[in-house]
Amino acid sequence: MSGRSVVLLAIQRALQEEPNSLPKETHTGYDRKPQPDLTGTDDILRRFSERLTMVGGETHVLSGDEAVNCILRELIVEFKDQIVLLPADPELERLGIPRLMNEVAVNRIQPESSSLSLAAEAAMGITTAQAGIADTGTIVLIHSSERGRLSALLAPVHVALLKKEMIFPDKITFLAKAQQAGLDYSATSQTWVTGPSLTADIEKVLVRGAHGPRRVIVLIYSTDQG
Amino acid sequence: METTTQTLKANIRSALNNDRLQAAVLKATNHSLAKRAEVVAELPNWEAMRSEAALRRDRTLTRLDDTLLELEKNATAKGIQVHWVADGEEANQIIGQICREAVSGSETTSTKGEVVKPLIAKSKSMTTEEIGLTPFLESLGFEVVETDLGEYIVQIAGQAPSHITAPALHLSRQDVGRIFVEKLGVEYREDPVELINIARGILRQKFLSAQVGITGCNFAVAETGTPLIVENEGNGRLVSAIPRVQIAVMGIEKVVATLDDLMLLLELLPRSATGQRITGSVIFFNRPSSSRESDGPRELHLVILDNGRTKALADPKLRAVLRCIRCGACLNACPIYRTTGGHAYGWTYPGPIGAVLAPVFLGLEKAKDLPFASTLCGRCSEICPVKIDLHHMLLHLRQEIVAACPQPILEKVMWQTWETVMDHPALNQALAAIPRFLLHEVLRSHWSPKLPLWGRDRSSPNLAKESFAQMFKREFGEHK
Ligand code: SF4
Repeated sequence: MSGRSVVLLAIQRALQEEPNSLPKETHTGYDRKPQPDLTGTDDILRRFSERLTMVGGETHVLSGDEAVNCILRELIVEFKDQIVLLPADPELERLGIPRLMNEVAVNRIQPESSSLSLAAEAAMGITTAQAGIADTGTIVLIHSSERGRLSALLAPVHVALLKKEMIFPDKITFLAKAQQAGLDYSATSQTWVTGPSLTADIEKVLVRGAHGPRRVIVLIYSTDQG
Repeated sequence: METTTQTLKANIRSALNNDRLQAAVLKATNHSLAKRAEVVAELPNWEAMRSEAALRRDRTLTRLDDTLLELEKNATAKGIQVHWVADGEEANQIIGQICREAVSGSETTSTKGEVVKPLIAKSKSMTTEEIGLTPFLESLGFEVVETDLGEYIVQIAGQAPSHITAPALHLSRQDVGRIFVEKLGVEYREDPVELINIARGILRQKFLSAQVGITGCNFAVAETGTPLIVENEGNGRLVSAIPRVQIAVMGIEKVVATLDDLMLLLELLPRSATGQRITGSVIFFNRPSSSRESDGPRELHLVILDNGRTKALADPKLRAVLRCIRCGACLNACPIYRTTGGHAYGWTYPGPIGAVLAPVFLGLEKAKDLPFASTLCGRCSEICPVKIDLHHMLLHLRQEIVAACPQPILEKVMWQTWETVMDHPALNQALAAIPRFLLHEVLRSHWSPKLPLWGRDRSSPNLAKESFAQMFKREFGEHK
């Protein structure tokens, strides 16, 4: 008998022996009243920034592509002559970031087409984030061929670009709205990232910057395209 | 880890003689409890959330077969390879086979002609500890690296994790400093940041050359076919980004029916475990990477393990233990755990949850002392985010153990005598005078801290001259 049938049979037997241990009373007092939808509003944006800052992340709120370019230039200049990871993401292309990087003379690398050991040397990685969750200061990275995992992961500094209208109040609203907003939850792998990587494994002392980024900077922007 | 549940008393004695251990455990558990209390306080409906989570976990358990089949169907449809295994042995065999296939044909010698063992990177997983996966894979010739920093520390020290969510909780920074000197040959230091930096540097190289990634699975969502993990260090992200083959290992109870259930549990787990609103990352393994993706696993395996869980499922008094989301809060709250640390329990899962699981997983005989390592104070049940009635389960297991395992004759006779005496008030009162006399007249005047056992840790009791029954009689007369 295969492992599958052995396990299933054991479960079914156990359930027959003790078919229903549920309490009669199923009202737990837990009810989630529908919240007003505040997705993308300034209130939600403030909450997102506040929560992300609390866990050691940084945010900048920007209006228009030009502002994004400006602040990115400031951030990238610090990494002149160093390696910066930039995936082949069309949105980054649209924002003119590859061009900007050439101007500033950083060593731009696409992790998709470079060696892993070289990518691991990077000082910074820039990616888009597909959504934000305000309640926890979380960014949602949805992985695809254009948006790999490594640009957000290997370098000590991760800069994520997040559209203002994609910040949802909480996890539940995110899941409910994601589909409508064109994000297919179950179709692709995804990572929810909240602030820099951290550990407290030695005497519970909080150390930010464990195996992943030490700094997470989220640039929240509204696009010129509306 | 080697199971030493049968020497529980000796384990506890050695923990009690270790002041450094006790100080480290107390400090860490206090810290965790305080952080938890802060983030729990900000949710006014915390209690309702606990009840709801308990109910939803129970609902899933009552149709566990269908829920797992749904998970299998949806995961398989996306290309995830699902394996069902009845026990640890089978799990190890299948995982070993996947690893062998993953590395076959790849280089096994270095430029100097030395044999290079193929490397497997693991992120933290108690389920793989439970089945002894690491030693098994090592016996097949793999190098297996624990990448969670706490796990890495206990791995190089040759120890086992002492806590479900904080494996190196029993070690002080000085301990870690010394372990690094001895095992890694680095200079002694004790600054946590510096120590973490050393480990990170070593582990980064391991990540880059790992051929297989092994993760646990905090939950698996049936309706979407999605296993997922929560973690903080970024090691889970690396383990699931770099190796082209990934294996996630889950117990059958880790399945949740819907995303909505998951969201509720994601509120409870990080708050209870580490006092966080959410962990640094939540990684959803929705499908293997396509050929166009340059990272992530091309091959994604999900191993679904029973290993004794169906025994708990079949027992009406114990089924609810399968609600457990392995947050570790009951360990932090338990006065026994807080005094002895985790290793004393003698197997993978310590604390109240471990004392319930041990008799189920290992058998009553092997684990017969563990349910007695509890004060039955109930703090574990009070703190449990899914409302598992741990202390009543421990009481129930004590009864089972007494019924099933041979008890010392003397103890049996003692309890039977006690029962007879308690059944007869007159006898009871008459006999009660004897210990009162002994305690009062003999013991008190000859009290010595050198008295074996009793005298060592206690001061002499100060008894009233009259018993309660005598006082009652004096005040109210004979009870009719
Ligand atoms: S029994 Fe409850 S408190 Fe203990 S680890 Fe499991 S979920 Fe957490």
